[in-house]
Amino acid sequence: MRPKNLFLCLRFQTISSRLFFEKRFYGIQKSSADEEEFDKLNIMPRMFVKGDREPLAKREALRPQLTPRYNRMPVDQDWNSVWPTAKMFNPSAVPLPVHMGKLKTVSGPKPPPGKFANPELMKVPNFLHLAPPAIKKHCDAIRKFCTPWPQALTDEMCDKYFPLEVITSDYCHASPTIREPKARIITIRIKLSSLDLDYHAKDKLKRILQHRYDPKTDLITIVADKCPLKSQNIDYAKYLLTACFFEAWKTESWESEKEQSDWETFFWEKSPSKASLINYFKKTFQNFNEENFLEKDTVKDYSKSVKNLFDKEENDELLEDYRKNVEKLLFDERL
Amino acid sequence: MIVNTGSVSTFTFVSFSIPKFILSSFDYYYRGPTDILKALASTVSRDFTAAHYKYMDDPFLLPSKSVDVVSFTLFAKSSFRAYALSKESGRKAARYFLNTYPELFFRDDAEPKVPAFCYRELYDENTDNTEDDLRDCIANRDVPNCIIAYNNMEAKDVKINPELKQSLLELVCFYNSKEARDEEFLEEEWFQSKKENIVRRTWQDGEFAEQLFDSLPKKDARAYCTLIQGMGKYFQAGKAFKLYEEMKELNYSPTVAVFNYLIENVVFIQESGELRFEMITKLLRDMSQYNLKPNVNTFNAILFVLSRSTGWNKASNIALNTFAEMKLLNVQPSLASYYYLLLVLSSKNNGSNILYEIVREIEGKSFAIKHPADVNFFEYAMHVCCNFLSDVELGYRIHNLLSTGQNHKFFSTAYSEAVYYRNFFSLLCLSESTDTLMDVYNKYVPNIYIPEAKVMQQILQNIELYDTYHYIPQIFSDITTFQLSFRGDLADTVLTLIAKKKHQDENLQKQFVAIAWSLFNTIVERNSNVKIFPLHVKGEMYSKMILIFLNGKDFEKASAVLKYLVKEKPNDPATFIEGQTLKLLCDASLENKMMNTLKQTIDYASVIGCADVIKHIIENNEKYSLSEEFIEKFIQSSNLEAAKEDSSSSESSEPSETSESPDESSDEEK
Repeated sequence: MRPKNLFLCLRFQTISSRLFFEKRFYGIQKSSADEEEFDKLNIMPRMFVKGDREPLAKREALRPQLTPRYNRMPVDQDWNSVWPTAKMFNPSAVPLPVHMGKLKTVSGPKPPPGKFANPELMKVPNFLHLAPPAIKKHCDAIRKFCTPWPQALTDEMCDKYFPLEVITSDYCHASPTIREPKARIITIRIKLSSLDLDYHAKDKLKRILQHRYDPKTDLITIVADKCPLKSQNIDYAKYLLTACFFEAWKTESWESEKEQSDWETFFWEKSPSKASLINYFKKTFQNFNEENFLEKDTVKDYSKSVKNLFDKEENDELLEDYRKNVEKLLFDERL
Repeated sequence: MIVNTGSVSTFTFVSFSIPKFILSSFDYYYRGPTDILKALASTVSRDFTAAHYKYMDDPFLLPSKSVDVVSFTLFAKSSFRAYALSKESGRKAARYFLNTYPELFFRDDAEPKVPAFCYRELYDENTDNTEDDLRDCIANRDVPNCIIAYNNMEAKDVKINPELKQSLLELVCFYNSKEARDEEFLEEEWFQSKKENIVRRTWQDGEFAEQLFDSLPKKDARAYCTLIQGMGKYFQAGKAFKLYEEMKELNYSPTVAVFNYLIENVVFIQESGELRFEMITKLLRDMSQYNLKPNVNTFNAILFVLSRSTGWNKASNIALNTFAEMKLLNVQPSLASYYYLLLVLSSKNNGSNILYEIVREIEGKSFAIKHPADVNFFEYAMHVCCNFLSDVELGYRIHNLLSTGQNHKFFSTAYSEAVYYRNFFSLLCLSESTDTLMDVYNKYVPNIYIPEAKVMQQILQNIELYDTYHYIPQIFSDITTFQLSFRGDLADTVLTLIAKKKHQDENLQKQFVAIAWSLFNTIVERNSNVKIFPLHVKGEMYSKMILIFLNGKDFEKASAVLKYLVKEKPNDPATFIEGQTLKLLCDASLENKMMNTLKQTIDYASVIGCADVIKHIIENNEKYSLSEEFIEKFIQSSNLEAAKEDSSSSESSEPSETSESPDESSDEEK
């Protein structure tokens, strides 16, 4: 037998020839014009024909459908059993008149569409499985796996004795693989104040950490994702923290070469402001004692306002403060 | 771990201990990887509003046609079966393609690999197999590959560990040297027709299992036990007993399982109950000689034999004695034991009363499956309760037992589940009020059970009995959804019920009109379509419809029925409607001044030979104060002569009255 070569006719055509009526049940029709041509295979041949048979949609409509099952739900049912886990919104199972989305029409805005055939409701994650009674039930069920929280352990004590916080994430979704590359990324957090550091070390640590330190919350945050495994990343982050800590305690020889432009804050003690003040008083008063002078409140106030002017944003208040302190120093000061 | 905190200055110490539980789960309490999931799952109970999760939870895709138990030929039409099986056949097709073209499925993202989804290699004669291959095959219960691998190894003189040979023998004996059933494909089994209750020999004689046994150089007790158990499982009774005798001669001691299978096989050795029991006693004596204690399956085997020899008059006594023995030995009976006991006793008069005691004994217990016959208990218990005892209280108790724990899984096929619920609903229909019945109905229909036409009939009878007509619209909509409308005479029953009287509640009457109208439309549609098998509807049904429409004061619909009959079935005697209805229709048309319909009615009456309809009109015409002209016209235009002839010929007993009556009345009018 000659193997039949089949062409797929994918375009809809309107064919009214009697021949086609007869052949459509076989799906294969022979071209009458040329015997040598390939036979054609019509996919869904019935769809082309009008009249002879009821259209599919109508036949389907004749088949009785079930009413959506929320109609049969008792009022006092156990919702947890109906919706036990997270799943996509199902209008026939939710006995709530939910509306979502927007309809823009020529005639103006319309109320949000209802729950049936509403893709907006399907797209968003819903929390229908997390109704408060369900959560309560879940908690009761897994309570037997837990021990009570030690009562003496307050939040402050937690901060004090368990300062290091390790944040990991696990992923669970329906896919062939249970591996998720994002699960390797970990974060460790610790308060800077809980580390044993002096001023220099603290400053140096902040410089080493750069954006990893947040001065507002005083938190050091280290994110590690270099290694393929979670535990490796945790170890690596801990190593980084340790290395930074010990590096901060070291004072290198070149650190003495720090100039005013490198200062993290204004040091009045080292500044030309102090030098010129001392210089001025030395010239003005014969019996000038530098040590006693520096102990005075006026000097301390003056130094503070200078420091503020350098460190903070300049404003009228600071300038006024500076003016007052300068006046005090110049005119009230009697040695 | 103890952490001490405190300040030296005040000498106060706070100490707390971190529970061991969190720190190391191994030394305190071991929690398995799925224990938390199991605990969470225990909060979810059965949801009766949802269908089984194998179906798509969508009203358009949920099955709605029942398993029809009454006429089993229609079983194939059950959409539950069709949907579940098509899903499974899709999976089978996928498996077929994977096995045929494994090279196309090179991409496998699964991590870790799922061996069940991977291509299973099939060995042939040229494969070089090792002991490890054989061990893997046995672990995967892959019988055909095991056999090929073993034969290859034998041919190439590869040495096989005797222990491995023993486990191979166990595998092939368990599966009767055939391929093991794939546990992924259970739907076919679930939807197959009634499971074969016939016990027959299926052991493959002389197949691989026996060959392997013969080839063993040293046949030890374990090998003998394995083969006897395999033969016993597949009821090769003769060979099993022969091997047992051999074993005794060799002084090997058998196991309890061997005796259990031997006792079951007694059925094939002896014919009469008495001889069978003698043989069992002998086996039990042997058992005690070997110092073996019987277990629950031993007793189940004894009861099985007794249930197959119910003709023996001592069977029920011995069954009860067996149970007493069980109690004495403190052996917990399984559901199969109760099933067999019920089977033995219910064959006797008044024997079914044992069901009360059984239910009292096991009420509130949750069972785990222990014996293959366990799954028969609920179906049979409900059958006995419904058909022998007819006790609704007991029915509820059995049903509560089924609802306890995981007991609802004790059905082996969809058929047996349907039989259980059919009996349960029949019982409720007979003895409960409609309100109670409908509570249960709403819970189980349509997701757990879809009533068959017969049960629907019983529900309608119940509604008629308790005069609770307001349930009819719901029941009718279910009947349509389950496509039972024209199964049996269900449609007729519904119409009879609602045509029975005129209901005071207008709303209800309107609903009834809608029901009749939808039935009428279905009939018209079905009969107008040539391709579909037409419905043969009797005239009574049409007259009931007209009656319902008239009761609901919907004259148009009533006349539509008549028009349809006149147009489509003018000469079909089966569809002729009753004269009484025609009279009512005439009255109604006069009342509504619908003279066309009146004329049509009279014509129709004359065609079918109901002349007293005309008589009825003329008698009552005063009531409607018809004008003289009208009557004249009416008499002339209607085919009265024909009617006269028809009526005089058909009602020959009283010709004078019928022939005279129109003339008389017209005279009076004049």
